[in-house]
Amino acid sequence: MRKLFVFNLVTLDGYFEGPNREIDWHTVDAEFNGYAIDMLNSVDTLIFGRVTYELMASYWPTPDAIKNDPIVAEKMNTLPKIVFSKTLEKAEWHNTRLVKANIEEEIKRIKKQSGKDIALLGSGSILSQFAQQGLIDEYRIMVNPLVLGNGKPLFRGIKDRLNLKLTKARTFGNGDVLLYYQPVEREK
Amino acid sequence: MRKVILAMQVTLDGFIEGPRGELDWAMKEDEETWNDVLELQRSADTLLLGRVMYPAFEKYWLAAPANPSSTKNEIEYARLADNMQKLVFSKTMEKVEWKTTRIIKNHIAEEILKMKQQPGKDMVLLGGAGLVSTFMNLGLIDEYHLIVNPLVMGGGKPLFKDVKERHKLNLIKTKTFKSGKVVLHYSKGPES
Repeated sequence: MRKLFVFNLVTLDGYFEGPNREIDWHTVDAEFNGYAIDMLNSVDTLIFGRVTYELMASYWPTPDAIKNDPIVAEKMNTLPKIVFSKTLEKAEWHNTRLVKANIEEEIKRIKKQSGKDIALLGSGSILSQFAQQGLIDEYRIMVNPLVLGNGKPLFRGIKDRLNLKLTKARTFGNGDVLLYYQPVEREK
Repeated sequence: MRKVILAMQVTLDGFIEGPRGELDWAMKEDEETWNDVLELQRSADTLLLGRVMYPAFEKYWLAAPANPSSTKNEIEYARLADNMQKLVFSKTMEKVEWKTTRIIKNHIAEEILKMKQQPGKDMVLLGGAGLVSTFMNLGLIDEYHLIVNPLVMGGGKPLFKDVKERHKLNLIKTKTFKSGKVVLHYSKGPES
């Protein structure tokens, strides 16, 4: 079965964005882009919640994005994408499918299909929901070198303790540390 | 100049205790973590402690050398702690048992800045969260030595709770342990 992993950037105090949705602290340099390209080459499906979808769909197809990060933009625009949302009416970003209901069944179904891995690029309620349903096989958390002081916590919807196993850690030149974890099976 | 180093264990979601004070995840016996903790302890000659955590800290470590259930690492930690200068920050605390502890009631920044100028080894800030935010907001922390534990707690007491502004940091080094704990060691960034 293929793997569903989540990739996220957080501050040292655990926020994925500031109180006014600030993400100016992301450092997109050559090393980060190299990682992003490798990651996108390892997947054939991208999954988003509505909020991240809207952010990405409003950026990657633009001429600016294509000029600044041509390889990443090309991947983001052409890879098959799924957005889960009860409220979105339509999803117009190229190669995107809108799924409104039965998310868990849909994920289980596509994980059983053959293919490359699946990346969840979402930070809000979708991450907590997937985590609590045991759908996430790997967490890739990139800890950025700053304390923001306020913002939206990445894991805010998770209410029960989630035990993890560290599988890898990678340090980037800009001070980001990418931590790879797998969930530890809960005792039934 | 002597540095103030914040040294604490946190969960991946940034908590230092669970919602009911759970610390079992941090306290699991782990030789690599102990080596790291003791190494940092030996590089310092002063411990900085908040008033909420101080009474339990004092009680535990004063009793540890004679406690038959203490491990050798705990006895070593207690021995080192006993020989270090300890400062507890409280406006209301009247006295402490530990002879090598001094109560600081006011003028935290002046006191710490004065001590940084004096000769000596580094000073380790052990928490709690209230004192950490006070120190951060006063710009007194020079390095951060955090041990990130492999779990999401889902609630509890956050390490950084009343930090007023953004603090940029420089990553100095990382260490990973077999237990899955990761040490992230930062110094204060240029703009904070």
